[in-house]
Amino acid sequence: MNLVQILGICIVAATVSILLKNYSGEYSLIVSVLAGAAVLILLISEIYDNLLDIRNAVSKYSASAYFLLALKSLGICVITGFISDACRQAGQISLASKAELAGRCAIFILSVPLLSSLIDTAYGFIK
Amino acid sequence: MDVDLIFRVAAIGIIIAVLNQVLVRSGREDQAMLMTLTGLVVVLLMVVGVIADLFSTVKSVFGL
Repeated sequence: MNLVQILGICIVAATVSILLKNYSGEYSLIVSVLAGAAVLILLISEIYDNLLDIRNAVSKYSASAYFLLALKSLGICVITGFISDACRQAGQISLASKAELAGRCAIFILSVPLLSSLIDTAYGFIK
Repeated sequence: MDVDLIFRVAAIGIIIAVLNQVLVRSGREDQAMLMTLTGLVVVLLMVVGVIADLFSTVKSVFGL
């Protein structure tokens, strides 16, 4: 995990963004969004192999569908957080909250089959 | 991989801001406006490429 490289990118992008702010505002936003994307790509390509190992280890058991569901919602959280922070950086608070709302709806849609199976099992116990 | 992209975008931003001032000072405001817009479009195309790359990486890793 080349942590130093990631931290270096962040601090350099922050200074370049401030430098560009007084020339032209939109480029400072673009630089910060690019730096965020670069850091996320580096991070996710770091944890790629570990996630594959975990997924293979879990897929042997019957309840692996629920773990894959959790992994998917984690991916949705990562993307939604990235985009809503970029919107907030641009000063668009309402757009950021709309992006977060969209992320929550996506996760809710993902978890509906989970809820229905939970209800079925609960009903089975009661009967 | 993406670090030089950051500096490339910063360089484009500064050059366009300077050219904008030059054109405005020489009395061609409309050309300055058009040049700024084209520069922004070019940079946005680069940004869209990086964001698409990020989304495909996340999709493949998390199995979305």
